[in-house]
Amino acid sequence: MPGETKKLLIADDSRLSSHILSEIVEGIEHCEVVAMAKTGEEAIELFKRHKPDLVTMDLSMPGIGGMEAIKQIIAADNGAKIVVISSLGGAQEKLLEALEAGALSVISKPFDEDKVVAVFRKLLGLI
Amino acid sequence: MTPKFFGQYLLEQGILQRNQLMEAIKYQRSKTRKFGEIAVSRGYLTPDQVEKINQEQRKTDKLFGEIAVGKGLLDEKRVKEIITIQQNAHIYLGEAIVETGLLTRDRLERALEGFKKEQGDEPGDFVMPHGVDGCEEFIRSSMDITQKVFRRMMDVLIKFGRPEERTELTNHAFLSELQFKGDASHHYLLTVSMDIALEIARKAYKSPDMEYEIETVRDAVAEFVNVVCGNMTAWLLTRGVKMDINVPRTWEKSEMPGLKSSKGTRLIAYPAGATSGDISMGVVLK
Repeated sequence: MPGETKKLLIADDSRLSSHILSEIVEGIEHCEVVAMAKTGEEAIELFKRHKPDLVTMDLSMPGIGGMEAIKQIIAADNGAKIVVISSLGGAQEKLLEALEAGALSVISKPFDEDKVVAVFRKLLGLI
Repeated sequence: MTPKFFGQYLLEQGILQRNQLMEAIKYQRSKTRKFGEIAVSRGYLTPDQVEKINQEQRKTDKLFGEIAVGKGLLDEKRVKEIITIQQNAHIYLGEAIVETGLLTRDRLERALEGFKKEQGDEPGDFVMPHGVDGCEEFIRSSMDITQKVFRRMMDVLIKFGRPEERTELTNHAFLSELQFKGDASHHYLLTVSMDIALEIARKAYKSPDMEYEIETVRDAVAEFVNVVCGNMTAWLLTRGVKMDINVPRTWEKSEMPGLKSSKGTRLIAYPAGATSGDISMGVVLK
C-alpha cells in the first residue's frame, strides 16, 4: 500500500557494515530497519519473527553462513525478497549460487550508497 | 574498481532482472560442450572411460585432459584438438544475452563499455619473491586489491616495498588474518598502526572525530580485510583459481598471537608505505 512503511532485516556479522546499511535504510522515505542479525541462524529466526519486506544478506558470516540462510528463508517463504551484499558478490559462482537459491540481486562490497538505495527502492516498489 | 562478473553489473544497473540473467546463463551453459562429451563424439573415448576420468577428477585438482593423458587414453595432439572444439563452441555471456533477445547488440555494447570503465585497470607490476611458483596469482591479487580497497574506502595511496621472506610478521597496533579455503589454503595478513586503524573506522563511519573504542576499531579492520579477501576471491576465480574465505580473526596488540611461519608454510611480508601510518601485508603460503 502506498505510504506504508517497509521493513528491512539486515544480516551482517560486521557492526560497521550493519551500521552503514541501517543509515542508508533510515535515509529512504517509508523504510525502517526492524532487526539485525549477525549469523545465518539469527537471520532465519528474525525473518520468521518480523516478516520483513526486504532482507540484506552477507554471505561470509559465522555459523551456517548467508547462502544457507537464503535457502532456508526461501523454503519458509517463497516470496521473500533478499538482496546479497557481500565482499564475495563479485565472484561469478557465488553470485549464481545466490540467485539460484532465490536472491533477487547481488551487490559487492565496497558499495556505492546511491547504487544500494536504487536497488532497495526498486525491490521495494518505491519507484 | 574491484573485480566483478559482468552479469552482476547488469543486475546492479537494473539493465537485466534476475530471471533474465538466469535465462541468459542457462542458454550460455547449453552451448558449452564438455571435454568428455566431445571426446566420445569423436570416438576417442568411451562413455565408461569418461565416467572413470570424471570420478578421478572429483578427487583431484587435475584437468580432464591431464588425467586422460596420464592414463594413456589420449595424446597431447587430441587433447589440443578437443580444447579447440570446446573453445569454438563457447559463447560469452554478452552473446548469450543478445541471442536470447534480452538486449540489442547496441545496448549490450553500451553496457560493456560502462562495465569496462567501472572495472578499471588490470593489476600493476609487483615484485615477486623467489620460488613462489603456483602462488603468483594469489600474491599479485593480494597486493593489487589491498591497494585498491585502501584507495576506494579510505582515499589512501599505499606503496609496497620489496617482499621479504620472514619467520615472523612485524606487528603494528592491529592484526587481522583470514584463511582461504578451496584450491589452496593460503592466509592473508594485514597489520596496521593505530593511526591507520582509526582512519579506517572514521572513514567508514563518516565520523572524523570518532573516539577510540577497541571493539569498533577492531571490527572496522576486520571488515576491511573481509572486503579485500572477498574481492581477491572474485579476481582469482577469473583466473581459474577457486577459493572461498573464512571469517577474519582480528587482534589488538596486547592480545595478538605471535604468527610465525611453520613447517610446510612460507611467510612473505610486504611492508607498505602510507603517509598516515604503518601498514604491513603478509601472505602465508601453504
